[in-house]
Amino acid sequence: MMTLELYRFNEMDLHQQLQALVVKAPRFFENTPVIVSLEHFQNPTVPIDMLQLMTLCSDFGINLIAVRGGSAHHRAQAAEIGLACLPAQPMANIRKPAVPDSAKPVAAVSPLHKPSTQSQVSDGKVDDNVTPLHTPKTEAPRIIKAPIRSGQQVFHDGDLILTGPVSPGAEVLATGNLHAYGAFRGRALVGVKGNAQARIFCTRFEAELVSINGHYKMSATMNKSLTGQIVQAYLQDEALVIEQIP
Amino acid sequence: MAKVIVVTSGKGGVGKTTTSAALSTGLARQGYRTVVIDFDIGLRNLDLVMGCERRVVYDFVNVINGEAALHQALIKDKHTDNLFILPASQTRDKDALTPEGVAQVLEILAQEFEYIVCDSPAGIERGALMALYHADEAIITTNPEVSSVRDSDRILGILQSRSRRAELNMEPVKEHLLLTRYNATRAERGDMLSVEDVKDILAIPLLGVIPEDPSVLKASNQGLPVILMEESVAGSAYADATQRFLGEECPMRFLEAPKKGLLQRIFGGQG
Repeated sequence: MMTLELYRFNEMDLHQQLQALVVKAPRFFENTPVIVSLEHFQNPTVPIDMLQLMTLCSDFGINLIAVRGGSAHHRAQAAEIGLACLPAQPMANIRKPAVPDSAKPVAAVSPLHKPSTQSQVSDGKVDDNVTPLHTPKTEAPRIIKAPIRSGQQVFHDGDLILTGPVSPGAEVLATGNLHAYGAFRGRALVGVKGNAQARIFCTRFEAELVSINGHYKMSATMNKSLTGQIVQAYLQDEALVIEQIP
Repeated sequence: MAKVIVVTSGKGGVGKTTTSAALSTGLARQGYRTVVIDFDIGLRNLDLVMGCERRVVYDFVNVINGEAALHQALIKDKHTDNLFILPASQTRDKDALTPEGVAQVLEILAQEFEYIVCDSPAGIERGALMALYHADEAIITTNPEVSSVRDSDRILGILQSRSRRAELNMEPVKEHLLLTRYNATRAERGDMLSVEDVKDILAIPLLGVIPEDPSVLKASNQGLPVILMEESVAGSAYADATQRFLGEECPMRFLEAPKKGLLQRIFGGQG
């Protein structure tokens, strides 16, 4: 899970910064719940327009689910629009970045640190929200027979089996393995919630992009001899291996 | 029960209006009561291609807004019996199309006609969505080049997710591929995608291949659906496609480059 560390809230700046981030990694936030951390918010007395923040984020496909830390006022604002409120992490204040204010971006993104049990006991409801995301619990494999067209996006929490073709410009995401029996010309992303063991199998490999657990390769940098072949992709020592299945 | 056919493509300039005019004329000539609707509000072209632009008094938007009765807006085609045209408005934009209004008009037309052909505007915005929403069958007009194929692919995805049939979980919209402006010589040289390439990417049944033909331009400038130019290759290819659409077996023609004679080879010719 991702944390969006908010230092100050200015719609224009945040928009620009997210824009830059999305350009660099277009699928960074896809299907990922995001927590806004207010632990380093510069001026806790300044109110935050939470609705504006949420709308701005959702424009970039960022799915806000909760705020962490922040003043009582901020938490009340967040609760009003249906965001959950998580207690601040006990270590948060010590981790304060040593960057001068002027050089600081308005927000930073980091993976969630494992919440300490200490901070969780206070509110049972919060526990319900957070824990399932850390236990790898996936659904039964999903089989899709219809072609997946350009501009379509398919996500499955588990293994995904495709018997039809996947067009260029289509995107297929799975937390488990991907098996593609038709021509695969789109983007394949597996292990999207963190799973280095996830693999991709294609009987006719023409993918634009392959990504496993965040390690990706574009077709331009792939070995041309793999095109149209029966191929598997996996991670080996943090390196993405795409190879023909003999 | 009337069948609603949408002629769509995503990309502009690939031959949707030419196809709508030809197919609706073809269906009417087979004796089916047919109406063809121009959904390209603001950029009406269908009436020009059908040669009835000077007879447009009321249009689709007038009917939707209740400013005219449907029978006042319908124009009887002068070339073909059984064929009527519902023209688009020149002065409005696509926002004038309301889902309820379109549904109402189609419902009334369905009582009177056997085929309702919807000529979709380019793009994937409101106009195109309105045109495809009610479709039972779709004719995906595609040129043998990558951007057109990509856009057709996109519109196929939309058809299977945003149409009425998709929303109501009914049997999916039946898709037909119509490859237009095909030049067999250039496809053989590899300058153009071949029929097989396009079929492979889009993975839908092929309804027909319309060769690139100067008579298409000539016909639209004359306000005559090209299918009525029976001696032209494009016209006969459209006639074949109509037959196939109606379920008749009809061999594919014009897929191979014409063989050049000795003199042509010596003096060259248009490739």
